[in-house]
Amino acid sequence: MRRVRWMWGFVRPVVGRVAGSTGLSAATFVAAAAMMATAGYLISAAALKPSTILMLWVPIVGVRFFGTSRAAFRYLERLISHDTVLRLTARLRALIFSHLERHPDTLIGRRTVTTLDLILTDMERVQNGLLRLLLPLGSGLASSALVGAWLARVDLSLAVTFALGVLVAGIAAPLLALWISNRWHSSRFAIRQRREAGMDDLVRGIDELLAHGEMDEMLARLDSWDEEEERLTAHLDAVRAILDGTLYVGATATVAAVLAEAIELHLTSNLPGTMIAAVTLMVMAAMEPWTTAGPAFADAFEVSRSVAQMVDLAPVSSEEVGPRAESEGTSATLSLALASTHTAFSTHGLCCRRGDVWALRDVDIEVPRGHRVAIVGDSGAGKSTLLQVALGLVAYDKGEVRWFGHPLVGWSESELRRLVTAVPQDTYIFHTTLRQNLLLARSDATDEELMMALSIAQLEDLVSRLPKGLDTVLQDRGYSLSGGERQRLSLARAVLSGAEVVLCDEPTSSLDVETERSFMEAFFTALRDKTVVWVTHRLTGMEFMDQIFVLHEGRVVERGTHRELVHRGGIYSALWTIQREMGSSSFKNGSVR
Amino acid sequence: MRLMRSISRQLPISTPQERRTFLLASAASALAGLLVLPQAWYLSRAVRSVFPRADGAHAWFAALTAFFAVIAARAVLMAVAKWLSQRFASHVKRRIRREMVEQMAALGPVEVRRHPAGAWRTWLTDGIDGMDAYLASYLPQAAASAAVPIAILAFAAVEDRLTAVILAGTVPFMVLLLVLVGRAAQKATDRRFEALERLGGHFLDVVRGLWTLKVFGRSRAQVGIIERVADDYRRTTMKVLRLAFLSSLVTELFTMVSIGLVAVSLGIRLLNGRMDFAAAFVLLLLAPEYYLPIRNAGAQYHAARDGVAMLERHREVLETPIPAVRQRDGGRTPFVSPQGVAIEFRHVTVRYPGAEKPALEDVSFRIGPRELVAVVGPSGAGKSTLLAVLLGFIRPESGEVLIGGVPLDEIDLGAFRRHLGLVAQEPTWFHATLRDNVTWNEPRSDEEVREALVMSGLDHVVERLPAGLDTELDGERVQLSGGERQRLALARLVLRRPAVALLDEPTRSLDLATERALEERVVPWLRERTSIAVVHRLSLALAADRVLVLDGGRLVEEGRPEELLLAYGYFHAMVSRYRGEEVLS
Repeated sequence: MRRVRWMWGFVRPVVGRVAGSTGLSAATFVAAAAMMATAGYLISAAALKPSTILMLWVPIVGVRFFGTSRAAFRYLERLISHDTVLRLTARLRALIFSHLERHPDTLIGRRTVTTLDLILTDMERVQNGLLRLLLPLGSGLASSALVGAWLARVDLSLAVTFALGVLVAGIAAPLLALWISNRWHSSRFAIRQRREAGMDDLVRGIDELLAHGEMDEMLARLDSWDEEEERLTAHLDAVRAILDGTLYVGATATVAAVLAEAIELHLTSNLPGTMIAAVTLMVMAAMEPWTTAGPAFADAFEVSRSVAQMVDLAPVSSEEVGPRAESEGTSATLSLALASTHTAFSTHGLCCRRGDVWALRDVDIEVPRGHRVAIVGDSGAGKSTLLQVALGLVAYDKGEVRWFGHPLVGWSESELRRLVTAVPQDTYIFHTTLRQNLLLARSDATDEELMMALSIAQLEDLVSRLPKGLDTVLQDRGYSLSGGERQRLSLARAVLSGAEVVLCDEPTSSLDVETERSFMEAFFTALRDKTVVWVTHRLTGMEFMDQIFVLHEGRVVERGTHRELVHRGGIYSALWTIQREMGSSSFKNGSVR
Repeated sequence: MRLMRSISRQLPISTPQERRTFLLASAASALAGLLVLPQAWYLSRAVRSVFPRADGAHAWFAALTAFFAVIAARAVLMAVAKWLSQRFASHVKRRIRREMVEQMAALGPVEVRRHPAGAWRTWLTDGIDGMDAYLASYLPQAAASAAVPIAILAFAAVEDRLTAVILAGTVPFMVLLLVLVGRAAQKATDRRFEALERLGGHFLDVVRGLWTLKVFGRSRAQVGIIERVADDYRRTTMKVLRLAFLSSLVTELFTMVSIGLVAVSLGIRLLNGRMDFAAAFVLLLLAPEYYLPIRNAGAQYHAARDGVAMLERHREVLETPIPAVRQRDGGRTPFVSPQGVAIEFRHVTVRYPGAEKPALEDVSFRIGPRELVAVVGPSGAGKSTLLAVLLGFIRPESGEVLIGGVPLDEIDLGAFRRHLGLVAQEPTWFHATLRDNVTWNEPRSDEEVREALVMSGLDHVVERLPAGLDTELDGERVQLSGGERQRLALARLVLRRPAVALLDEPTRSLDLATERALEERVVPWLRERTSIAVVHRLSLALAADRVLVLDGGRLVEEGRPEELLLAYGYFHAMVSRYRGEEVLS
C-alpha cells in the first residue's frame, strides 16, 4: 500500500503526460486495428464485385488514413513517453537527494558505495516500470475498450467474446503466472543478493582470499549459488514459456471464436459477409497489445522491489534533523547575540543513541570563542558522534546543543554554515575542477583568494603540478590526490569559507607521520585566530590546546589543560605515558647492549 | 555444417551443449514463425467457406478445426523455443560469469584493482544479467526473422506475383532508409544515453559528497541544481529524439503504406475478378508478418548493442595478460617448518603494467625462520610491492625470489599459501558470522578462538556486538571501524598460526592504547616465525629483529635497528623525526 501511495505521489505531477502518452499509445493500437479491419472490408467488398470502383473508394482512403495516422500516433507517443520518463528522472533524483539532504543520517548505517550503486539501478527500474508496465496496461485497456465498443455496435455477442478473450489472455493468464512464480522470484532474489554479497567479498577481499589459498573455496561457493540461481531460473523460465504459449493460444483462440461467431451470425441472421474478414482482422490486431505486454508482467516483481527500496530510502514525509532550511530574519538579533556571547559552542546533558548503544551520555562541553579545544578518546568513545551532532548532521535524543548561546534547532542552515565549518577524516573530492572543489566553500571567491587559501594550506605545488592548474578536473585518471593533499584541500576549503569555528574529525588519521606533522603545522598557522575543535585519539600537539576533554564510553571523564591532565593521573596521563614510551622505550631496549 | 560452425564461432557459444540448445531454440522459433503460413491459410479458408458464397454447412467448421490444430502446434513450439532460448541464455550467462570470476582470481589484485570495485560488481551482476534480451530473444530469433519473410515472399510469388513484387520491392527502400536515417539518428541517441550515464555519475558524486556540501551549506542549493541539470538534459535530449524517432516514423509509415498498397492492389484485382478471395485474404493476413522484423529492428538494435558490449568486456578481461604468478599443478613444495622458512630476494626488479618507473629496483635480502623484519620507508617506496611479490601477486621483471631455496615461479603456490598469513592494509570483512570471519570456516575450539580474540584486542569489540561471535557481518547493521577490521585481521592471523606472517601497516588505524597492548602481545608471537611487517609508525620497527629501509624502490639500508640508529642514515633520521614528533615535551 505504501508503495502504491509513494508511486502515486511520485507520478502525480506528470499524470497528464502519462495519460497523454497512454492515450496516444491506445490510439496507435486502435489505428492499426482499424486499418486491418478496413483492409479486410476492402477485399471482401471487392470480392463481391460491386458495379463501380467508387464503392471501394472509402475503404481505400480509410486504409491509407489509418495507416499513416498509426505511424503519426506512434511517433508522438514515443516522444511524449520519453519526455515523461526524463521528467520523472529529474524529479526522482531531486526527490531522493532532497530527502537525503534533510536526513543526512539516512546514509549512516549503509555501505554507501554499494547502496548508491544500487540506487541508480532501482531508480532506472522504477522509471522503466512505468514505461513497460503501466503504459502498455493502460493503452491495452483503452484500445480494447474502443474496439469492444465498435464490436458491440456490430453485434453484442462479438464484443462479449472479445472481452472474455482479453480478460483471460490479457489479464488473468499473466496474473496467474505472476502468482505462481512469486515464490521462485523471492527465492531467486534472495540467492541473487547472496551472490552479490559474495561478489562484493571477492572484489574487496581478493588479496586475502588469494594469499590464504581460500580463493578456490570462494569460487566454489559462488558457483553453487549460480547453480541454485539457474535451478530457480529454470522454474521461472518454464512459467514464462508456458505463459507465452498460453497468451498466444488465448489471443488466437479469441480471434477464432470471434470469427466462428461472425460466421454463425452471417449464416443465421443478417451480418453482412463483408464484415466477417473485417471483424476477424480487427480482433487480431486488437489482441496485439496483450501478447506483447503480457510477458512484461514478469518484471512486476523486480519493479515492486525497487519501489520498496525507494520508499525505504525516501519516504514521502518525515521529520528533519538539524538546523532549519529557511532563515526567518533573525540575523539582526543573532548578530547582537554574537557580539555579546563568549561561548562558541556548548552542550548540556547531551545524550545520543547509535543503534542500541548510547554513544553520548550526559555530555557537558563548553568551547569559548577563540579557543582551541581537543576532544580525546579511544575509538568508540563517541567523538565522531559528538561532532556530527554539533554540525546538525544527526539527531540527538536528550539535552541541549547551543551555538553562540542559541539552540542548534533555532539556527537557520545558512547562518550556521557561515560561522561553522569542518575538516573531516576523509576529504571528499568532487569529480569536477579544482576551482569548483574550492568554490563550494565560498562561491564568490576570486582566483587570488583561491590561490591565497591554497598557499596557506601549502598546496601551491599541487596547482603547478596539475596540467590545467585550477581548471583541472580532479579524480580523473592520473589526477588523483594523495592523502596529504586531500586533507590540505579540506583545510583550504575551511580557510576559504572564513568560518569562525572549525571542527576537525581526526583529520590526520590517514596520514603518515611525516605528512601529519607538516599538515598540523600548516593547519595551526592558517587558523591562528579561529575557534578550533580538534577531535583525535592521538595526543599529538596537545600542549597547543587551551582545553582538553577526555571522552570515554560516551562520557566526559576528564577535562583540563595538557599539563593539568598529565599530572592528574587519570586516563589521559596513562595514554600520554603509553605514547611517550612507544616513541622511546623500544628504542631504549634496542640501544642497551 | 562448416557454415554453421563459422557462424557459431561469432556467437557466444563455446560448449556443444550450448550449441545444441541454441540450434534447437533457433529451429523451434523458426518453425513456429513459419507456421504463420498455415495459420493464415486455414483462417482464410474458414472465411472463404462462407464468403462470398457459402460452400457448405460444415466446411468452415473443418477449416476452423484445422486452424486450431495449427495454433496448438504453434503455441507448443513457441513455448519450447522460449524455454530453450532462456536455457541457452542462462547457460551462457553462468559460463561468462564463471570465466570472468576465475580470470579475476588468476589476474590477482594488481590487475583487478585497476578498475574500481564498483565496476567489477556491475559487470558481474547487472552487466551479465542485462545480456538476457540479446541472448534469449535477439540471437535465437535471428533465424526466424530471416526465414519468415523469405517464406512469405516465396508463398506470395506462387499465389500472386504482383503482391510478391510489392513486398520484395519495398524492402530495399526500407533498409536504405534505416541505414540513412537510422544510423545517424541512432548515433545521436546513443550519445544522449551516454550523457545520461554521466548524469547518473554526477548524481552519485553529489550524494557521496553530501556531508561536505552540508558542512559548507551548499547542499540545499544542489536539490535545485540536480533537478535543473536533469531538466536541461531532458530538453536537449528531446531535441535529438524528435529527429531520432523520425527514422522509426519513416519505417512505420512505409510499412503501413506498403500493407495498404497490398490491400488496395488485391482489392482492385478482386474487383476485376482476376483473383480468388481466399488467396487475397491470406496475403493480407501475411503482409504485417512480413514487415515485422524490420519494424522490430530498432528495439533489437539496443538489445544487441548491450549484449555485444558485455561480450566485448568479457573478451577483454579474458585476454588481459596475467601479471600474477600462475598457479601450477605439480609445482615443487619447499619444506616449511612451523618456525618459518628462509625467504630470499635476489636482484628483484618489479614494474607494474604500464608504469614507467620500476616499483622495486634490484632488491636483494634474506630472511630466516624465527625472524621479525620491519620494512620502512616513505609512501611510494615500494613497501607494499615487496609483499605483493612475495604473495605471488606480481611477477618480477627480473631477479628471483626463493622460498626455502625453491624459486617462487616453480613453487606449488597453493601449498605455499597454506603456510601464509596476511594482515592487509585495509583488511576485509566477509559476509559471514564473525566466527567464520576469524576462522576461515575451519573448525576451531572456542578456547582457541577466545585466545586469538584476546591477543588481537578484538574481545572488547565482540562484547559490544548483539550476538557476540555469532553476529552476522553485513556492513549495514553491524559496521566495523578501520581499527576493528585491523584487529579482526590480526585475530585471523593468530588463529591461523602461519609459518610466514605478512603484515601491511597493521597498526595504522588503531588507537594508542590498543596499538601498544597489541605490540606487547603480538611482537613476541611474530618472532616465533618468519614475519615481515610493513610499518609507518616506527615503534614496531624499533622492536623488530631487522629493518629494511626502502626509498624510491631501492633498498637503501638494512640491519638491526640499533645498528642502523648508530649509522646516522635514513633510519636514524626517520626515528628522530618520529620521536621528536611523538614526544613533544
